[in-house]
Formats: sequence, structure tokens, C-alpha cells
Amino acid sequence: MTVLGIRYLMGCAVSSDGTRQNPEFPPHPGRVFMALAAAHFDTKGDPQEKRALEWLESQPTPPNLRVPEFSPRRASRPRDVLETYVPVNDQGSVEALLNRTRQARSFPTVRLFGDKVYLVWQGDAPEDVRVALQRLCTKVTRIGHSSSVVQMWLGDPTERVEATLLADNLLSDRKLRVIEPGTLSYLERVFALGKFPRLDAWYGYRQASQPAAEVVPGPFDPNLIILQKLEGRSLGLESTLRLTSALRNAAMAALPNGECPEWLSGHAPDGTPSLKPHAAFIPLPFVAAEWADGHVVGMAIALPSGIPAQEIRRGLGALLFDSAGDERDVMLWEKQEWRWQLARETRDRPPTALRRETWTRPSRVWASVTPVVLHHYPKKNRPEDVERILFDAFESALLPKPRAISARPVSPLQGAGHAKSMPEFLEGGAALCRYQTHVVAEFEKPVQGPVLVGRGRFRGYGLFRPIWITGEASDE
Amino acid sequence: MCVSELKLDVLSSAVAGSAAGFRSITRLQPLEGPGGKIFPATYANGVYAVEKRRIVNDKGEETEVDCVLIDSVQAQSNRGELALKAAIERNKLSLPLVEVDFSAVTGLRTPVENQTSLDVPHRLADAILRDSELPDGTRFSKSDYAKRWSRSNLWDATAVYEYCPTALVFGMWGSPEKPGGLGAKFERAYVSEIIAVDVERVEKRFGFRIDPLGSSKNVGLKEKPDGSFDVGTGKTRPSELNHGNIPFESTNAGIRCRYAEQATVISLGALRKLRFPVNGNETSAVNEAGRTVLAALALCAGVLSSEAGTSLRSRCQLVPESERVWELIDKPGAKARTYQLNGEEVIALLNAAVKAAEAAGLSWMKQKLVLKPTKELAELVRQSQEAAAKEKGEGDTK
Repeated sequence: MTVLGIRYLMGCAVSSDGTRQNPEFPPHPGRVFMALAAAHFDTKGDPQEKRALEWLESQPTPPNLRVPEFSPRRASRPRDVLETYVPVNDQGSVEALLNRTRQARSFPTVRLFGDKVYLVWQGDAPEDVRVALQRLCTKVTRIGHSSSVVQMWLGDPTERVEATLLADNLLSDRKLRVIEPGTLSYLERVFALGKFPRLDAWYGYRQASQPAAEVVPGPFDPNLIILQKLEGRSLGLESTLRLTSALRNAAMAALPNGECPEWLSGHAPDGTPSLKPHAAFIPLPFVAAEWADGHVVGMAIALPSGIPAQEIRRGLGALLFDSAGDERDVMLWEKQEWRWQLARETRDRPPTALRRETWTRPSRVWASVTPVVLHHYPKKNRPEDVERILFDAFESALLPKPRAISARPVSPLQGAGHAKSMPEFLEGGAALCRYQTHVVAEFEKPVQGPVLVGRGRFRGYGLFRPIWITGEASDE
Repeated sequence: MCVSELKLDVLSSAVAGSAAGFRSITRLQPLEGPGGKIFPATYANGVYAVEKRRIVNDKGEETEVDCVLIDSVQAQSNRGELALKAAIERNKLSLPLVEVDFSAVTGLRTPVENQTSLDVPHRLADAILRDSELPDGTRFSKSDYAKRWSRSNLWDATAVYEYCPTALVFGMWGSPEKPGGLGAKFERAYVSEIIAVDVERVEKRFGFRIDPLGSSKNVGLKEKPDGSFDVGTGKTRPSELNHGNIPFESTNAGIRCRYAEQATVISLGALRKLRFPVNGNETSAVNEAGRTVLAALALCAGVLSSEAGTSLRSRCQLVPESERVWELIDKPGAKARTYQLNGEEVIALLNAAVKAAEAAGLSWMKQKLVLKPTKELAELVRQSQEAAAKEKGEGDTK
């Protein structure tokens, strides 16, 4: 491994995402490389440094990152932008001493909880590259604005650094600017012309799964593949089955040669329903906010835990990437009725409904967003039979047994609506149970999401969202 | 913690080596005592800059608290420059200065204080210096001085060192001098800010301006163009002319905090990028001597501004809980060596560094370069004062 360490000496990072309004943190690998290259050019560094930079840009995958948690500096009134007025100096005519115009400027800043960031490449740099990288690192004085002073160094190759952000184009929830072969030459040309560089290569990253010791994992990987809706008419939760079926069909149709793995289709090779965990297609609605109306903001694919990355690429690669390896939009439609254009969600600040943690944050209490469809009808002469069936449903869904369950017609989550406002789940035949109800479940220990329960759980029914109770941290 | 005195040989070694820089983190309290109310800097629309931090509370638990920026990086740089200027005025320190002398400008309503390279916002590159002239009438921007410094860069910072070394410490961007907006550009080596930690906001402030004359709101006034007024005839209330009791209400009512923290970093890496060829020849001895001077100058700014007292604005005066200590941040993970020095010691350190640099062949301007504003700059100042006075309803000076 080759590790670069960065220590932010002021305990904060000052750099913009290009908008000059929003901070950019963690530092993108492309930005760090530009800082190294700038140090090399500014000091007219030697050929060994150049070779070291070329070695970095030739690495087949971008580095993983270890990044502390952080908090953005903002205006004390939430809707205001933090701007300061600086006196301008670049006007051609004589400017009055007393009336020099001032220009609003932002200095987007984040406060770090911990002052070190690490970039970890999997490859081992040869010794001459290591020596040059170490020398180059000591020349880097800032990453971002001039007030974002840093100390940088080459890490010990034997030191193990656990990454918190992993380079993963497939299961990513954000994109960072990275480098590629030729980046150094491009920067050299731009530097010689005295212009500002712009890196256009991006790569997907995701949080490394780091469950706390007491968190109980669910059957699904918390790295949901989230798709934001780009275009299409507004549809509510009552369209769940139409949306999820369309998404599933699109995933199947994209497969080359029609060979669909069991973990994706949910069918065994003989065509019978699979008994193993398989992919779930779920709606992501706007709920649990004051004005929430339950309209579907995007969609997600939840994968069963433990599927190897190669398998995932084989199964979903064609849906999400084109033949050149670039991201492609996903089109869903239903004859003349509606047509949706979806794309992978990679924004730094997506809406709450499209954030992974909204649906997967470990929690002891979960409430249904779409009603849970029971596996069989409750007996009328058996009190609490609904709850008994629900307990069984959680077990079938490979989740721990809740400490308490409350079945109710209306979800406590604003926007989720009445259980009867959702169409009955008819998949599998009309003879199967169609009884559906909203549920609030409380577990002994926090459970990692996503939580999907009941007969329609692979099609978006029985979708739960974590809720917090007094005394626990809010997810908002 | 073992704290040593910082001598020139230690500073020179640090500059010549690989240490990242010096850092000082100091806790401050309001002058009126812990928990006293202070007023942080406000930004556009009167907001504060807020952030979260994690600290260990009295129970030993890590907790997330609200913090407010009291003094920004830019403001702290200005205070460093003003502290250096004050030391120069008290004859404690000698630095190159370029000054624009407004004392001979006539026809001003209010005299304008002389502006030095330590006062003006953009230092040597400021428009005020650009639009001033040498005693012989040569415009500063066309003078040999400007021709030299405007061609400066990291590889030849000698001219800036000679005329305005503080520009190399606090940063400078001479943007107007070259097409395309890029010019002599030097990143700052001195970064400092003050943050209030674990803050409680005082939400609203109410009060009255009490009129000792007891002017009554029932007496009507009529304003006249020359700023005076007739009494008893108009509809203007006395409060509109700032007489009478005037209530006020403000949402910026200050904060209380557990403590304020001043963090200052002097980046030796930034200084190491600078080179000082003399008469076309560059040597590492001269480069390191020049960088050592600048490091000492940065320390002067940090130490002297602390000793001057942290009176940031009205009702925002802070005092340190302890003396400032400077860590030398060297090898990652290694324990930092720490140093302490007072105003006299840091000035002596600077003087020793300057002397060593001169012995190596690198000198700076000894005499203050005095400019005067061009006719048009002086006229614009005069007219601007007239325009401002008219807005307030004051009479003409003519």
C-alpha cells in the first residue's frame, strides 16, 4: 500500500466545490494530486518527483480515503450564505479611498473532528518513488484556499490505515474528482499558460461499512444503489408496484444473453421462487417531514449481503453503465401512462429521501412507509393474531425478533398514508393473503437497514424507515 | 511541557529543514471574566459564522458543541500588521514601509490619515499606492519600484522582500498588473483565527437611547437643507433627528462561551518556496537567510498582536488564559518542541535574522518610501467626502 497523510494544521479545511458557496470535503484525490503537482512546479522539482507523480496517476484504481467526521461552517441563519466583503483592487480607474467597492466572497470551510486525512493506494510504490513522494509531500503547504494550511507526508508502508471511503464506482453514493494517466501533462501545460486547471475525471465512492459492535446487521447490504428521478410525472406511493416492477424488468432486460443470477431475479434455476435472499426494488418517497406528501422522489435496489463485487457488476453493470463504461440513465415506463428517467444519485447533498442513511441508519425503532403484507390472514377469533403473524414475518425476513410490535392502519410517518391507500399486493396470485397494515417495530438493539418485511418486500411493500425516540440522536 | 526560548540558530534550522511550521493555540476569556458577553464578527446580513466542534466536557465525555467565529483569518492578518505598525511607531521595530502622505491635501472636510503598506488592504499591490506618486512626480505604478516588484514571483521575491516583506508573510496578489488577472502572487504564510467554543447565543437585545434633554415627541420639527431645523412647525419627530428617547432592538445580542480559542499557524513550507536572487545570483544561504527573516517577522506579528491585547471590536475584548506557546510541527507523530517568547525577545530575534541576512547579501529598504496621492486621487477623496456630507445634510466647505 502507498499512503499519503494530510494533517490540517488549523483543524479546518477551506476549499470550495467550484460553486464558491459550498465546501468541498473530503479533499478529492484530484485536488490532492494538484497540490502535489503545484508544489513540484512551484519549486521546479526534479525528474524523480515527476516520475513519482506519474506513478500515482498510473495506478489502476483511485485511492481509498480515511476521513474524519466534520461539520460545515455556515451562517447562523440557515437560509443565509456566509459572505464577507473584501475590497476590490483590480479596477482600471482611480477608485475613491472612502468608497472603494467591496465584493462579496465566500470562504467555504468545514471544521474537522480529528485533523488527519489519509489517501491509500493499493499498489506498493517502488523505493525511488517513495523517496520522491516524501520529498514532494513536505513541499505541500495547503490544500484548497491559502488559509487551509496542511502538513503532508508519506505513510509508513507497514502502517495499516482503515479507510472510511472506498473507491467503488458501482455502489457509490458520491463522486470525487480523481486523476488518470496524462493528468500531470495537462497540469504542466495549464501551469505554463498561467491558467486555472480543471479536472474532469470522476469516480464513485461509498462509505465503508463500519457497524458499531451492538448493531445487528440485516439481510441486505446497506449500500443501496440509489437512483434519482430526473424526469417524469409525479407519482405517489400507490404506484409502488408499478415502479418497482418496471425497475426490475429494466434490470432483467439489460442483462446480456438473458442470464439472470438468482440473487437478482429471485428465482431458482428451475424457475421456482428462490429461498435465498435476493434483490429488492424499492421506492424512495418524501415522508417524515412537515409537508411530506409521500410522492416518490427516486428508487433504490437493495442487494442481499455478501454478493461478491464481480457478481454485482455482472448482474447490474449493463443496467447502470453503457458499453464504454460510462454511467447511463435508466428509463422506466408503463405504456402511455408514465415515463421516468432515472440516474444514479451522486450529489454531495441529495434530498433526505435519496440519502442512504435515511433508510439504513441503525435504529431500534422502525416504522413502515409502505404497509406490510401478511403471509396469511389473521384469525378473527385470535386476539393479537396480526401481531403474531408480524413477528413471524420479521423472522422470515431474516431480521431479529422485535421487542414490541404495533400494527396500525396509519403510519406515524407523515406522507406515508393509510394502509388502504396502497393497492393490494396481488403478486403470486389473488388467493394469497392481501391483508396489509402499517407497523411500528421496536428492537432490543439497533438494527442496520434497509428493513423490508412481509410478502411484498422485494417489490417495495413493507418498506420501513428508522425513527428516533426521545433521548436518542435524530437522523435529521 | 518543556518550553524553551527560541534562538536564531533553532529558527534557522527549522526553516532550512522539513518542519511544517509553528503553531500556537491559546485559550482566551472575555475581559469581564468567564461567561462574559462578547460580540463576534458579523457577516453579510448581520449573521454570525457558526460551526460545531467536539470537545470533552466536565464529565470526561465527548460532546458536540456550537461554536462561533469571533475573528477571521483576514481580520487576524490585519491585526498582525497593525501590531507591527504600532511597534514601528514606538521605535521598537524597523521595517520597510511605503507610505502615502495625505497631509498636504487641502480642501478635505476630514483629514485622512497617512496610509502605509501595513494599512492598505492589498499591501504593496494596493490601488492606493498604485495611484500615488514619488516626490519627483513619477506615478508609483510606473516607477522602478513597481517595475521590479510587479515582475516578482516565487523564484525572485527579492524586490517584494526589499520593499514590503510583510506581503510575503500575509500574502499578496498583484492582480491589476498583468493581463488575464494573474500577477505577482504570494500565498500567506501566517494564518490565524479566533473561535468561541461552546456558545450560548443571547437572542435579542433591547434598549433605549435615553435623552438627557427630555425632548418630547409631541414637538414637531421641520428640517432645513443646511441641516438645521425649525421648531414647532413641522411634522418631523425629534427622534428622527436623533433627539428624544429612541428604542432599539437587535438580534445580534452577543454570545457567551466556555472559552475562545486563538489558533495561529506560521507555515514554513510557504516560506521555503520563496527565493531571493541578488544581482542575478541565487544561493541557498541567501534564500534561507531571507526565509528566516520572514519566519521571525511572522512570529513578531503573532507575539506583538497578542501583547497589544485582543480588543477586537466594541464589547469584544479578550485576554489569554496563559502565555502563548509556539509548537514547532516537524515529523508527523513526533512530539513537538515548544517555545515561548515575548515582544522584546521576538524583536531581538527578528533583528538578529535581518543582520544575518544582510551579512549574506540580502538587505531591505531602510528608509521609508513616502509617496503622495496623485491629483486625481486627492480630488476623488475630496469629492467623496463632499458627497458623503451631502447625504448627511451637512453644509459645503466651499
